[in-house]
Amino acid sequence: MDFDDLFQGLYPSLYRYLHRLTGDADAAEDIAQEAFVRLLRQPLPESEVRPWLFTVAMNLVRDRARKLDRRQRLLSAAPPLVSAMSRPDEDVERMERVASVRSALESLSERDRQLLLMREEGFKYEEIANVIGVAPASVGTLIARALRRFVEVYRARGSVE
Amino acid sequence: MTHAENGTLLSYLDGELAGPQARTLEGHLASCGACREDLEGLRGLAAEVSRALGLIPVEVPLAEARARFARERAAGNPPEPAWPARPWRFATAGLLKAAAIVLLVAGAVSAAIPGSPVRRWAVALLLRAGVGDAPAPVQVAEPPAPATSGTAGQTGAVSTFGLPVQGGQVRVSVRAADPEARIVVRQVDGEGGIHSTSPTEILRYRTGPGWVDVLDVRSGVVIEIPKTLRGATIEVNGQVFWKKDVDGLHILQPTVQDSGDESVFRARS
Repeated sequence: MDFDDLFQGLYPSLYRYLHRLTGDADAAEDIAQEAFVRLLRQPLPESEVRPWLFTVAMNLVRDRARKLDRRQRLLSAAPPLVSAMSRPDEDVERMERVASVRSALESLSERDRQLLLMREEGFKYEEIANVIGVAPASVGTLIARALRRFVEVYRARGSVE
Repeated sequence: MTHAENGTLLSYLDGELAGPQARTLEGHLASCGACREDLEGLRGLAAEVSRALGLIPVEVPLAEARARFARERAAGNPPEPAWPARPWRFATAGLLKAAAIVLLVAGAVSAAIPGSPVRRWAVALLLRAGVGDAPAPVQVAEPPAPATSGTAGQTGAVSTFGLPVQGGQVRVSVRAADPEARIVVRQVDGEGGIHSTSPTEILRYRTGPGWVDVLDVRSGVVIEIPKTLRGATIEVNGQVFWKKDVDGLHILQPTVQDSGDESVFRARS
């Protein structure tokens, strides 16, 4: 596998993770790009590439938030809801649902968000443990708690079908 | 055994428990209704979170990103060491498992191509695309990363998969499989169903909007794919075997046997 194949294979997952984590498409694109540029300078064994990319990307997310001093706003940077008068009902409902998901994500700690989003991207527990910095044996318990916390908030917003 | 912790149950659902631990837990689940209830509760929570996260619209700007990356790379920013590095090659070789998988594509799939027997269109598609030269990938929901990459010339455990059409749906039917085999089905639209073919075994899988990732196929599994969907791919151990797009059905791996009713594939992982 050459670097182009690697880029094609991993970029969508990294971008999606960053987009969901930050709520900011531009930030996700810039950070994913920077992570791959850094990877270019850091040839790694295949098994280490994906955790390394996500770790670097997460550090870049923190750096960006620190510099901009708007860490909370990153998560809530979803496009503003427009007037219900100008949108079909289903669009308004969909946007409200997205807002509920973002709100539930924002209510979690950074670690819980990472746990849920990395699991969603199909990471193995050992990889999650390496990126998050916890014991691999604890990952199942931590994810189970994060799932409950997310769903509690999400349901409380009345967004369950 | 005392009641299982939620972390243990989720690890089991996610395919993270080692074989002996999983067998021990299964023994406990067989006799403990409370833990079975907890297990199903966790499965429901995980599915609800996956559905919720899938509501966030994410359009991956892959083409733009590749172009941007190529520009930066061409501009020599940054200076590059050799890539892939030697450790990469060693690691890749070390990851190549000696496992072979046989995929059966039942002739009924050809119902989606009126008047075109499986053999003829499969051969035609393979000739058109070239063996191993897959057409451009269909835009389907992005998957968990594939488990392994393919190579040639190795054999090992064999699994058998069928793709019959029953009741108006295409099905992925696993009848006998290497426990390490991993099947991922991705769909552009529609909702697929999934269930175990064993009344006693617990099925372990992950699912989200547009994808199903089967983690343990030893007990047998059926994944139902709506016939009317616009696009889908079926992967086994990271190799795409079948896809449907606006141009029709495509077999993306060379056949090792073709009876007209069934096309047989061998995947190396």
